[in-house]
Formats: sequence, structure tokens, C-alpha cells
Amino acid sequence: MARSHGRPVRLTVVLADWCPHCVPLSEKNGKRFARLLRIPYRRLDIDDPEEERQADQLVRDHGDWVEDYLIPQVFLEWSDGTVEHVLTGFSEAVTRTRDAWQHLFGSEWFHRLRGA
Amino acid sequence: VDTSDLAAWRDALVPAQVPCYRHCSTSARVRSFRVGRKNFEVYACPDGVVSLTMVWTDGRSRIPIGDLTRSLEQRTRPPELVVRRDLRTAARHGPELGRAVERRLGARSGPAVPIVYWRVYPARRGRYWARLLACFKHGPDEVRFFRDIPRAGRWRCPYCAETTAQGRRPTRRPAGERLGPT
Repeated sequence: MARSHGRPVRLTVVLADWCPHCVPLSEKNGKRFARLLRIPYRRLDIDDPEEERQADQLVRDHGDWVEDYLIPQVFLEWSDGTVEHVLTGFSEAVTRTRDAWQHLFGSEWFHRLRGA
Repeated sequence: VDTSDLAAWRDALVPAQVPCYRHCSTSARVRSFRVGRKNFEVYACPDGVVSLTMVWTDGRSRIPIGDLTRSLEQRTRPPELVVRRDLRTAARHGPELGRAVERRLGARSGPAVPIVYWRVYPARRGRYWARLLACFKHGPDEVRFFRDIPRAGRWRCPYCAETTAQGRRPTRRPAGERLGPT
């Protein structure tokens, strides 16, 4: 993950409606994350061809890319153009993905982000 | 990564059990072993059905998918069960694993621990579902994978054909798992 500069400008969640790690769990937490940082939230649905194209590009360039990649994947965009991969869903169990969101909100990293 | 860091990562990355995936209501417990620098975590329920195999390294370097594919193929019969599409990657950072891990293991901008997940989805065989099974009778740090229809913990490991999940010779063939929603 690259060190970022500037300020956060948008949060993007790559997801699918049928994925229990994504909806409602990561959509809800992604919106909360964006709201707390006062930045826009964007969802990219891999079942929508145009959004899938954008999602593939984002994951290929900045995320955990393989042909059939894991979802959800969460990205934070910065004012200097940096894109930071924030989170990938945990295949082990939905509860692990839920815990990861909770850890993120409680992390020193996120507190620094809010104070920036 | 020193040994204590490795233990901290393991505590954060490797749950002792996960829900059994689309098979039964029991938990799949982890069995761990190492191949070179790769840590293999195999989650299987008491029937031997594998929910997930997780592979991670302590070097924080990427896991070459080709090497991993060969490692899995050497332990899987038939080796064609190992398909690259079933290998999915994830990078894990400290903040998503809890504040204690975050403090111990450093800034978010630091290197992440790469993980590869291997999940083989159930396949229909007539009225039943064939699933990936694991046999752990091949040494303390070894596992063999194969696909079969789980029958209440009874199946034949193709590597040690005389045994079942409980280590007995099969005396009958109980009803297999009927087709159902997955």
C-alpha cells in the first residue's frame, strides 16, 4: 500500500448484491466510513457491465487482483491522485469481514485520517 | 519478520474455526502446516469436508501463484482439481486486524501480509454433491486432498485407500448427501 498525501476525496466499494460480505454489510460500513470523513461514497457493482469495467481497472491497478477476485474490495482515493486499497473481504466468514470493519473504525489509522 | 511478530500475525489471521461451507452445521477447524516459507491453514469439518484452505507467508512477500499451484497439485488427486480461478488473493494490514496488531506491526503504509485462499466448490454427482475432502493421516505436517461424496465421515482416501475419516475400513456405503440448495 502506497503512503498517501493530500486529503481523502472518495471511498469506493467494489461489490455485488448477492454477496453477503458486501450487501448490506460493506455497503453500510462504507457509507459510514465516507460520512465520517465527509467524502462521497461510490459503489461499483460487478454485475453491471460498465461498473464492472471500472471495478476491474481499480482492482487490477490497486487491489487484490486475480481473474475472479474477491469482493468486497474497498478503496480510498486521495486528492493527489493516490488510490489506497483499504480492505478486502475475508473468505473465512462474514463475521470476519464484519470484524475487520469494526477494527478499521477503531484503528489509529482511521483516527488519524479523521483528524487530517 | 521475527518469531513473535509471526505469532502475532498468526493470532490475528488464523481463526481456530470457521463455519463449515455449504455442508453441515458444525464448525470447520483449522489444521496448520508449513511448506517452505508458506503456512497452510486447512479448515475441515469432522467429516473431512474442506471449507477453505488459506496460505500465507511470514516474509510479507507475494506468494507466487505458480509455486502454490504446484504445491497443491502435489497433494491433490486428481491434480486437475487445483484450478487457478479458485485461488484468490488478499493483502492484510494491521488496522483491519485490531488495534493491538496495528500497534505491534506498524503503520498502514507498511507492507501487508499476502494471503491466498483456495476454495473448491461442490460439484454435482448425480443426486449428490461431491466435495473437497482432506486426509490428515500422511504425517504431522502433511495433508492430501481429493474429491468425493462425504458419507457421514466415511470415504476412501485415494492415497491411503484402506482407511476412512475415522481410520476404519469401510464396511458399507451409507446414504450420501442428497442434492439440496447450496
